[in-house]
Amino acid sequence: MRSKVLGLAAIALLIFAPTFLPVYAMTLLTELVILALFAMSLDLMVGYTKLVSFGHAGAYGLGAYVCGLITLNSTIPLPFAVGLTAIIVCIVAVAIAWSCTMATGVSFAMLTLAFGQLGYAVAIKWVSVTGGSDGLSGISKRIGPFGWAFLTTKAGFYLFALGCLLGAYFLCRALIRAPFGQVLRGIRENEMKVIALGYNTRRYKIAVVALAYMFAGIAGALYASFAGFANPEMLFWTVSGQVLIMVIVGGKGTLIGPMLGAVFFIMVEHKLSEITETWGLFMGIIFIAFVMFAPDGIMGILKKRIFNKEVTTTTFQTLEVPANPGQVK
Amino acid sequence: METFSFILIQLLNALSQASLLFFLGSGLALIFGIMRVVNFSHGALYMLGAYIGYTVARLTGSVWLAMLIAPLLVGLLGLLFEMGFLRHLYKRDEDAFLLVTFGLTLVLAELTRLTWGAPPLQVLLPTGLTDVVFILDEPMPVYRLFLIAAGTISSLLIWQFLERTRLGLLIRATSQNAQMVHALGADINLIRSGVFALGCGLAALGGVLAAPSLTASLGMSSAVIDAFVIVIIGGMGSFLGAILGSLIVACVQTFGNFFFPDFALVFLYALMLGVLIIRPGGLLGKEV
Amino acid sequence: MTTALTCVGVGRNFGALAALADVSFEVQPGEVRAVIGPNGAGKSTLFNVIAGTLKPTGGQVLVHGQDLTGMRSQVVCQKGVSRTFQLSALFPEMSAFDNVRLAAQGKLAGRWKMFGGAHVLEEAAELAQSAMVRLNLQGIADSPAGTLSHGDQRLVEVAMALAQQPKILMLDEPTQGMSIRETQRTVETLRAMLGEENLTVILVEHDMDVVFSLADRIAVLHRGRLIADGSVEEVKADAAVQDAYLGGLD
Repeated sequence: MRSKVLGLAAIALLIFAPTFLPVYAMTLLTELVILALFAMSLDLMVGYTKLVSFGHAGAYGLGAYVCGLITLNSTIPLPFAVGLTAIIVCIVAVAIAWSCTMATGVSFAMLTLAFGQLGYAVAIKWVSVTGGSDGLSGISKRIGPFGWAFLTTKAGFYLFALGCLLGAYFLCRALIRAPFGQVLRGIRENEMKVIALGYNTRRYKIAVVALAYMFAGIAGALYASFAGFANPEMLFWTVSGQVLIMVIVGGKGTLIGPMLGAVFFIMVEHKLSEITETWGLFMGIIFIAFVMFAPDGIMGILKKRIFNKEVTTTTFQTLEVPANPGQVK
Repeated sequence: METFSFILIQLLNALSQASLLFFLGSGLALIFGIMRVVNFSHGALYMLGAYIGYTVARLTGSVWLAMLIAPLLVGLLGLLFEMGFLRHLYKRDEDAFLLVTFGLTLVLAELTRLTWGAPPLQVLLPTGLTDVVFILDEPMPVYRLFLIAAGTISSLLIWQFLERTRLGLLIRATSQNAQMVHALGADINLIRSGVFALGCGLAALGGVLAAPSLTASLGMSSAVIDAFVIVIIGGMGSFLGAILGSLIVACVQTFGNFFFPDFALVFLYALMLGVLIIRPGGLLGKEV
Repeated sequence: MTTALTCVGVGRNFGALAALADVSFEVQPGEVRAVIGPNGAGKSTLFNVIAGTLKPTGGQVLVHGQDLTGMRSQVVCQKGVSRTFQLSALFPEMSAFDNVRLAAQGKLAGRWKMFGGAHVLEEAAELAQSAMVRLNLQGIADSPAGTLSHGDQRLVEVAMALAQQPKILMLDEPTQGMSIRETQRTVETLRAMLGEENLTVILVEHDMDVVFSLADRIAVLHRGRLIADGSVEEVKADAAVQDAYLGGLD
């Protein structure tokens, strides 16, 4: 109950942020919202299905380029451009997921890395479409036919991005509590057993990867619209590494943890880069420390200190015991 | 005659490339064979080998000395790291090891950048190997022929070491059944650490050998992907598979780059996927 | 009436070693069939071939008349064969109840649903509860499966297979690793459960007391071949069986 109140308060704060935050803070907050979506999308794979990916930036960058190309070459308004990007990224993701799920464990992770780098290479080499190493620029937020000029303002775009984040969050939450999510949980803990129980686990893995990539693609599309450009660096494996750090440090398997991780990461980046040039080094060390000593991340630490672990699944006790136990139905 | 000389030259190029890839890939294959973990920082060690080689060459004036010292130093570094740190992760799931070595890659990349700066560094060809010979009227740098020789000799030496010596037998046995080897009285911790150090040293040797042709650059740490492609094609944990994988990848890269320069990477990944579909354990690997 | 399970000439080679050779037998619906034999006889191999974890190198496996030879374990499970594992394969961080519920869900249409699947979860929960009650596991239902005692874990495994409403229930050494008391308790629970149901059960076991308490008929393997196949009394008296178990070393 406590967490529900806190959650609603947080959402309210976020919605009304444009009314009390200064402009530079709003820019930062918008960027955080986009990165939070990016990080949360990876959590579906890493936290809920134990599918570690080193290539998630590929989805992010793909979304950025696709949205950028749509915006630059047509008059489709922003929300539809983002929606169309989501569909395209999802389709591409199914092909990538099908390929990567041919392997498991570490091999899967390395395959995602390979595909991410392939995306990077394509972004650099396909100059006619992607603009080569310069990338795409001049991507604007298009006004829609229904007078959605509101979306091109800073506050309006922020609310749109926030809407995407919240929508994605509630979608993911529903997914996880659904039968689909239960299977993912099983795969996370013991995939062999899940197969023996009659599930075609590969299909579930492909589905979750496609969804994760889709949400990352939406984040990329939002970023391209927000920053006005898309470049190959967005697909480089170091970006995949950064979002993975956000998920692990924030707390995998919690959806909210990675969002906190995104905030943590950006804050550390901004603060440390003022002091020293080697903030990347410290980030690496912090990451290693979390993996070794605090594998449940910031969320895990918070849960222990503030909340008791909540039981979210139906338990035996909540069902009515039948009158004649042992009766075969 | 022209086609023949062309093919011969390209083949020699491919072989020299295969040598470099062999050093990179065999290290990963050996480590995976013994420990069933992928060392994500393998590419970073390759990079470190190149940079340390650069410094040793600058300090001593001899690239030959660099080729000797850099692998030893990096091998030692790998040994210390495994003994002090990574060893504790074997009990945890394989993801933890991968993530930690990934973090290590970031740390190593940053340290390298701090020590040597961001721009790529030029390493000179070792004395005595700077010439260019003519084969069938086509120019061929002697250094590449040296690489072919180095790769061939090293792969033969290590292969025979694994097949014929007692230590090699222990290593092969440990990769199949560590418990049994332990029960028979051998110190598997020592074997593991040793093989890990050897793998790191091989990667570094690849880096220092590659440096004169490629320059030492920060981008080298993504070589772990190439190493992984080699091992996937050749077979995870198979040393001979690493040799085969290196040859295949080098040929695809060399001939692919010539005929379809922009698609070579796509071909390579398509090949890797093909192998995964037909033989998931790799060409010479066991079915996982 | 079709048999529940028919094996015809089933064979499985590992390289030059014939772990199974020409094994043929039938199991009738509702029968509890034990498969026994000395170490290395091929019991596990036969079990895994029927369950789909291993492909046979020869012969046929028919379940209720359907040819399932060589099909993957996931498909075999969907066709009605549920199995337990010798080394308990549970989901350690989930509660015992959630373990069984996920098992029940595996046979339900709509098990994949992302939205609107509440009824699937409810149905799975009911099946799980029913299975756990039949095995007297109500007490440990909410404990994380990884923290359970060995005996309870083995029974949760059985509950998982049971919750799938299988046509054939395959139990792989259910009392393995148990103390005498745990074994007795397990046998009593299983016997009570089997008495009320009309399940076809295939049981691989080492413990002869367990076999004699639960089985209707016994198949005896020795070095990959079927050397006896009959009622408990017939097998007890069979000379070849006595020879295999008590005879010379090799």
